[in-house]
Formats: sequence, structure tokens, C-alpha cells
Amino acid sequence: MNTHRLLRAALLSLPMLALTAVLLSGGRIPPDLPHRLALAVTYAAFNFFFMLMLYTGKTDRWRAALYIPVAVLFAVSFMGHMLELFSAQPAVVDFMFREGTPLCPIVIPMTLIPAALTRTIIWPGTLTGSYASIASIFVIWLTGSLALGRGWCSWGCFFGGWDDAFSRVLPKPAFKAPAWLRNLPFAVLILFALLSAASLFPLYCALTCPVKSVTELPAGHFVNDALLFWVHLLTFFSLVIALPLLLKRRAQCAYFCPLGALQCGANHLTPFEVRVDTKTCSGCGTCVRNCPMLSITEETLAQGRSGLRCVKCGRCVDNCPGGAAHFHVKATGPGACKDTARLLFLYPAFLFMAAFGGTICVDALARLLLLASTGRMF
Amino acid sequence: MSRLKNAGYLWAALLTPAVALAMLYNDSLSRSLAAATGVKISPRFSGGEITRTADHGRYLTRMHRPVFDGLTGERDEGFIQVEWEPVMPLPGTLREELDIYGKGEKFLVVLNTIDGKVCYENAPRYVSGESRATPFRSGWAVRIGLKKEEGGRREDRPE
Repeated sequence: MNTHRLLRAALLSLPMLALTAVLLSGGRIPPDLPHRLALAVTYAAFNFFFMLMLYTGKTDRWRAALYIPVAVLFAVSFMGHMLELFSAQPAVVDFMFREGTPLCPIVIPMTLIPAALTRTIIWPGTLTGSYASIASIFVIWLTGSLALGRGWCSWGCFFGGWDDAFSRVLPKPAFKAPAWLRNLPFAVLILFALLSAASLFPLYCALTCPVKSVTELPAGHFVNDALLFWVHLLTFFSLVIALPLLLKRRAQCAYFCPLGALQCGANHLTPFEVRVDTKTCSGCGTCVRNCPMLSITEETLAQGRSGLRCVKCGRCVDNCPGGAAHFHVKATGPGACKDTARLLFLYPAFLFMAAFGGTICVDALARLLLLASTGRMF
Repeated sequence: MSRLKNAGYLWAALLTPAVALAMLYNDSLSRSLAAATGVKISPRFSGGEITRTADHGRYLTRMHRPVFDGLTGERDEGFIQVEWEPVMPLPGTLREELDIYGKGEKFLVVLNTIDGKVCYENAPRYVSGESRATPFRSGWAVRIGLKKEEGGRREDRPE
């Protein structure tokens, strides 16, 4: 163990130790034991992995160690909230009448045109003051987009961990995905944004969303519940399990997610990007092969850039044998310090993940502890 | 170049406190965002504004405005949402007399609270046969399908 590096990592972790304590707890110690335990475990785990990021210099390895559990625990937390919501109802309520339904960020692209034209949100939620209210999710999404751009998809989105996990299982891809698939999310975005605007109904969510399988399957009395049940399961199995396994890519995020497509534009808003130093790059193609989003290609590599679809997961940075791939702050020129750029990126990225995903983890762990001790989730 | 470089670093460095503050004050920021944009929940989900409440002793009935709202104008087909909120346990059959546009075209909505079946008596032409009934809060809600005919035009509706 390198003492100097450990000391440096510990010192650089101090601001995050303080900030995550405030953000995860909301400034108060939870009154009940399950929440207190859940908070302590989450706080310790997040800061431990952040320290490892700083100590080892590896980003993606430790990011994934947090990001994947967040996705799994999100399913627990969300289902707990839905059960809580439904428990107040005598029976299953039609989707159209489900006031207070938490807003999923993936719905955001479908809501933008109707919001602009009618000043209304096509979602059966509440605007403010409830769990995942519409305005609170919009604030989180705007914050994530401005700070991280499409880094949202690797540090914020609580669904991405599923296909991220499956894309890591096999040592080699079984087959290569056709290049045109990279543009499919833009088509999905345009199609569903227009269809949702025309119907004033979030059609992507109701008809195809693969990750709905890990939250709530019945879509309400829309089209045919039994058919939709199988459609959601099929898209989940194919896009979140099978294709990520076989292609070693985050297939749902890279080929289908409309929010991911929208976030590509947000990459212009953030000061952070991943670049490849063309002078030190040996052209081995490791980054191209490893990019889970198919963002780095031979063409972008020649320009020293990671491409529009980059989610700033850091996998290329971790795997680059010559250290040519690196985090970069825009406008700081090619000779800028790589370590400073990485640290400046890691702080807001980790903080965003801890504040957004961490609170989900606290809620889910507390529900699981409650379930184990009392047999109920709320 | 140096100034630009410093600006880049400053921009990047400011994002850490910005993220912390945005997440910490999410609640007040979301209220400000909702107030500043003036957005509401689409009436296709909320049912639209409530125009009348009737107290039947055992339960309250709330009638919303007719909703024809489309993306850029009004649609030919819409609905009106009626909700029943129990004060005491609801009876097996709820009967509500409605006069949607206040023109004396009264008709009866009959809801079976056991199986959620809805039927109408003396329904005017602009009431389409479609309806959606669901348990709602502690009571029931029904959406009665409407067609935009003579009786359904905007100018005929109550203010």
C-alpha cells in the first residue's frame, strides 16, 4: 500500500465525506433504526468506493460497483413506494387516475412538446411535494445535464446499472453490433416524442419501456394489459439482458433509450469530456472495443475525441494501456493537467450519484431491513 | 488562452457546489420551477378543474369540467370526470344526475361500486357510450365519454 497515495486520496475525499453526509441525511439523523442503519451503510459504501477511485486512479471499476447496486436497489425502492401508494387504494387504480405516480426521468423527452405547447405535463403525478414529484425530477435532470451532460447515463440514471451489469459478464462479445444501431435512439426519441405529443400520453412508457419490468408492469387499462406485460418483459429480456450479454454493450442505453438520445445534446452543456491524446495514442483500439455506448469509433479516435454519445463512465480511461484516454475540461487546452480534470469531474459526478442514487439506496435498504424484521415494506 | 483556461477550470469547479446546492434545495427549487413555468398536470390525467361539488350526506360528488384538450386545439372526443368521495361507506349503486352544460339536458349516471359497471339513463347525444370507472382515492371516479357536437362546443360550456 502506498501511504502517500492513500493520504492524498483521504485528503481529497474529505469534501465529499462532508457533503455526502449532509446530502444523504438531509441534515438530520433518521429517527428509526432501519433508516439509520441504511444511511450508515450507504454513506460508508459510497465514500469507500470514492476513495478507491482516488487511490487507484480507476474510475469505471468503482463507479460500476456503486452504479449497479443503485439500479437494483432502485427497483426495491420504487416498488416499495408503489405498494405504499396502492395500499391507500381499495383496488388497482387505472393509470390515467393515478395521481401521485413518481415521475421516471425517461418520460421527460415525451413531456417536453406538450409542456411547451399546452403548459401541461402528461403524467399522472404531482407537481411538487411528493416522492419523485414532476418538478423535483426536472430539477435533478437539469442539474445532472448541466453538470455532466450525458454523464447522467453513467452517474445518475438508476436504470442503466442493469444493462451495465450484464454487459460485463462475458469476457468477449459474441457478435458485433451493426454501426447503424447507434442512431436508433434518435429515431426512438423523435418517434415517441411526436407520438406522445399527438396522443398526449407517454407512449414509450406505456408501450415499450424495457425497464418497466423492474418497477411496475401493469400499465393500466391501455391497449391490453396482458399483451403489454409480455411486451415489457420481452424488451427487458432482449435489451437489458440478452443483447448486453452478447454484445458487451449497454444495449438499452446505446440503442433504445430516448432520454439517452436527448442527453447527447446535453454533452454540449457540460465542461467535461473524455479525450484521447493523439500523440500518445498507440492506435490499439482498446477504447473502441471497450466503449459500452459505441461512442468512440475509429473516426472520433482520429480526432482525439470520445464522440457525442459518451457517457463519461471512464471505461476507456481505465483500459487505455498508454494512458492516452483521459478526462478533460473544455477550454483548458491540450496540455492541461489530466489529474486535475479527472478530479474536477469526479467531484460533481460522484456527488450527483450519491445524492440521487444514494438516497434511493437508503430508502431501499431501510425497506429491506423493515421487511426482514417486520414482514412489511413500509 | 490562459484566461480561457482559467474560465474552463472555474466553470468546472463551480459545478461541485452547484450540484450540492441543487440537490440540497431540490424541494424549494422544484417549487420555484413549477411556479415560474406555470405548468399543471394535463387534464387528461387530472380530470381538469372541478366545477361543482354536491353533498349527498353519505358521500360527496365532484364534477370536473369537460375535457376536450388537445395539443394545439380541441379534440372531437373528450370526457368529463365525476368522482364520488365517501363520508360513510358507499352504497352498492351510485346514481348521479348530471347536466353537463347547464342547458337542462339532464341525464343519470349509474355506477355499480361492486363491479365498476357504468350505465346511463336518458343520455344526451353528445354522451358517447364509452366510460372508464376506477377506484379513486377512497371512493370511485368515472370518466364519461363526450362527443363534440352542438352541445359540446366551447361557447356552450359554463364559464
